[in-house]
Amino acid sequence: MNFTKHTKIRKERFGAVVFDTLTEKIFVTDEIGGEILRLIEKGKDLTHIISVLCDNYDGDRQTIEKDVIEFTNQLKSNSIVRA
Amino acid sequence: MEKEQSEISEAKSAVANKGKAKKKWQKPKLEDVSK
Repeated sequence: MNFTKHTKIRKERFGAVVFDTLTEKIFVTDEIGGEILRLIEKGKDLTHIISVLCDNYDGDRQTIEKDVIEFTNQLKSNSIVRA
Repeated sequence: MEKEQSEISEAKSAVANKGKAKKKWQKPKLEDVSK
């Protein structure tokens, strides 16, 4: 999973701002979303991202996995990342 | 080299987080504010 060429990320205290220079769309995400984006930026795969989040957050693995997959699907459907 | 540094920084943050209370999981949100 990688960011598309036309995507710019700016880290913020609350999470991150995502700017798509192609469609001129702007997205904001929360702290956990920002952490997922940071891990994607490092080139980590989905299973690694889920493991890191399971270690850092209090929640059951199934829920975290489902939420992360849903979030990454949102990123894909908005052309922020590509598989 | 870069991978090693990344692994070292992850290990450091894991050590730093050890003993700290875990934050409660919340579903990550992505909001289109193109507002």
